[in-house]
Amino acid sequence: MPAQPDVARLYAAHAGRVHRWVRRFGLGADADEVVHEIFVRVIERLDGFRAEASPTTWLYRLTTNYCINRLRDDGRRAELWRERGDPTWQAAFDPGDQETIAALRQMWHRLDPELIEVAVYYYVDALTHVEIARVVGCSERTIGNRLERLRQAMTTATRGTP
Amino acid sequence: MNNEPGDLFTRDGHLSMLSLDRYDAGELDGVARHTVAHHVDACSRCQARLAEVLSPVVALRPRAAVGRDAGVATVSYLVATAVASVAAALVLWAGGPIGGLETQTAVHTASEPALSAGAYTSVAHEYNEPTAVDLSIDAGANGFVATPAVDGWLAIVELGGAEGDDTAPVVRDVLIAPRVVDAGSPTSLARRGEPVVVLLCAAPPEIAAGARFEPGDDCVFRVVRQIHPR
Repeated sequence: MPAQPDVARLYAAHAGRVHRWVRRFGLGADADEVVHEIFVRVIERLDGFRAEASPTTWLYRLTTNYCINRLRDDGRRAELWRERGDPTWQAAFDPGDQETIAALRQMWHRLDPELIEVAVYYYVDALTHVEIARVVGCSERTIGNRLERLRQAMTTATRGTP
Repeated sequence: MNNEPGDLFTRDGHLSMLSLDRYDAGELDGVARHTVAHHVDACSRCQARLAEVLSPVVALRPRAAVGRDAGVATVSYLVATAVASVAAALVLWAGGPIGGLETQTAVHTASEPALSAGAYTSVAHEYNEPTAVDLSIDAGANGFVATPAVDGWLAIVELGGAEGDDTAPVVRDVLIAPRVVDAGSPTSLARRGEPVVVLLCAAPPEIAAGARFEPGDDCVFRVVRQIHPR
């Protein structure tokens, strides 16, 4: 296959970091399988990947969204996460985040995927609005709006207000 | 993704791991690279994050090819051929000579199958679960010094195992048997030739020559290779 050498180099260059990004979702036991599946998707979208100014960022976003969707789609996993608590939603460096984090641990699987994605970048990876906007490909204002929607959803959920 | 410069730093004022991944991948421009290198030189937290980015990763064992799905079969093939070439980085930081060893600036060396998962995978994890064990390595042409950041059990082993073998590597020789070490107490080893693995665990690891190398989740380890001057 003509694409093999490129993909082999890509895999050698990025498999390790993809594995680390996957493990931040608590997918330790399944991480190898998830990495495989992510690279299947990379192969399917290879032309798009090659066109990226920052392939690492493209891969980072693909990995994050794949993991989010995998966890959301797997009802058994969601149940386990509710039972065990979610290792992903832990952030202690900003006390102002604690209430939102506590709510996210219970509620994340009910949120819109675009809000979960931004939440991961903001609370797990501690990225700034500027950097999240670069990763997602939208404006800082949009990111600010999504984070505000997230906080409101968490506040509503914890206070039991419909 | 847009083409805006973005922000190299996280909300806690340190370099984001994504920035460090991009730095490692060679995707940052000259100004950004200088910013990262300059900050890392002066920041121990970011040195630790960069070490996490560059540290050896879990060896991905080849899966049996599915066959019916060309994409999965391709990935299986790639794993089988790439397992022996996943880069393991040894990060050194500029500093004074240590016990006769010459400390050098950061280098990468392509090496054998990488082995360990890092101590943390995200900034949130870094803060919420303080690293239970951590290990720094200062290496030169003739050996290395391993310094644990926390009390623990330290061991140094040499690994073997056939290329393409889909099982965990085997301990070829136990150079330093597991022993209790205090935080900040360096252990030096004069060494040339084959790479070795320095292991630091919260509890005594079970390591014996001839056994498979399967460290527990409470361990971190670093592959140490002989460093060649630039």
